[in-house]
Amino acid sequence: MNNNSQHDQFQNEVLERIRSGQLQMKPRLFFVLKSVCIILITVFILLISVWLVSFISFGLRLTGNESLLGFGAKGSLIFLVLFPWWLALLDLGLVALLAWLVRRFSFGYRRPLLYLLIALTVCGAASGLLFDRETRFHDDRFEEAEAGELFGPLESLYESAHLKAPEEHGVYRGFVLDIGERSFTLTHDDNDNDEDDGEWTVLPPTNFDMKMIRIGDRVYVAGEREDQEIEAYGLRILDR
Amino acid sequence: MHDQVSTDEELAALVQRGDVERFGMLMVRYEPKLMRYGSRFLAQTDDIREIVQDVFIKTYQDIQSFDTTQRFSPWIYRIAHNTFANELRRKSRNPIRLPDFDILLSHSAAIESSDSESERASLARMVERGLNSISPKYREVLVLYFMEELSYKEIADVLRVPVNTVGVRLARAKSALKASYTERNISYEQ
Repeated sequence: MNNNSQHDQFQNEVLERIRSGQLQMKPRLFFVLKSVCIILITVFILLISVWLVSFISFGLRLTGNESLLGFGAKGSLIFLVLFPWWLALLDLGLVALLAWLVRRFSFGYRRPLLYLLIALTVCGAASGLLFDRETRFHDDRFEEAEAGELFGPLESLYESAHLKAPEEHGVYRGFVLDIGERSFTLTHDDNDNDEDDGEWTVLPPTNFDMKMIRIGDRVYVAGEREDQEIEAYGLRILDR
Repeated sequence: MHDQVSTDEELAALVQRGDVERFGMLMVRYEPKLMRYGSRFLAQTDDIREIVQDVFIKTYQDIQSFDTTQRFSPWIYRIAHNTFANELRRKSRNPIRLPDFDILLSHSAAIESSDSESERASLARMVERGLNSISPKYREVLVLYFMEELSYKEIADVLRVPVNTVGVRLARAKSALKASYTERNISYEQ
């Protein structure tokens, strides 16, 4: 009896609060807007994540650093040193945030978290790479940044993508000035006319076909430098 | 009379349309279940009435988000789970939530246990007696399966974990229970 009256009191308290208007249900619109907001935030973060991957890809393409992957174990090691890990970590943070958001929906939490993280990382990376390789989006923004037509922070970001070749790691980038029988002359491409400008004689790897190279080509060289001579173990002609 | 045969989902739909009194019917149906779930999950009986009252308050506030084409019980148990889990964290000395590795990887397909009704009732009694000796994570899945009689899929929706994880947790919970019985020299098969 005591228990029953406790039950009644318990329920009456809640019902009384509802009847008096003290307790109100949130309108359906609130939940619709909440869902829309979550979906929009999820899509926004997904787009930022894809953009970030494409920007990393663009930076590696612009600087020519991606060429290092074709230069053997030594080149791959230098590639790992030069890779913009902070951007990649930032992207992984976004992927984790995405996974957390996606797990609010049944299609998200019904799958193992690791699969979800792998799927988001792989799809995000593939989309980012495709976006960079198949569109001129970043190239156009970079040109706008160079012309000073881009919004402040974005301009600095795009300018920061065009890093000077890390010569301390034995990596050089420049234009072909002159071609000899088994060597060519390379110069800087930073065009700042300062004391670090110079010309080097590059001895390409033995398997390199000299017919491939033309005066004015922009090339990426990895090798050992002694005075003004670079003995290259990797060489690639860049697009721009 | 009509209320006696209305499903939970029909009652919830009426509440959504403003029929406040039907919410009382839902409370009548769910109060004993949630009291039992809460007292087992939290391993306490003090303040449980206030916590369950809080669950009903949240249920009423959020009822417009309930999809009446779905089952009502996993939905309200989800609200109860969140409220009880928050209460556990509030009372815990270490409120930091540790990563749950159960949900990280895929487990072999969980086949819903085919215990007969009498076996299930016997297991439920064993569970009831040994609950306090195991961790809340395993305690909860045992309560939802054996006492609240939710299916694996419904438990997965309450806990927001993959269905296979429910099977794995149940198996581990039974092992933990068995170990606890052995430790106390009580026969598990009793």
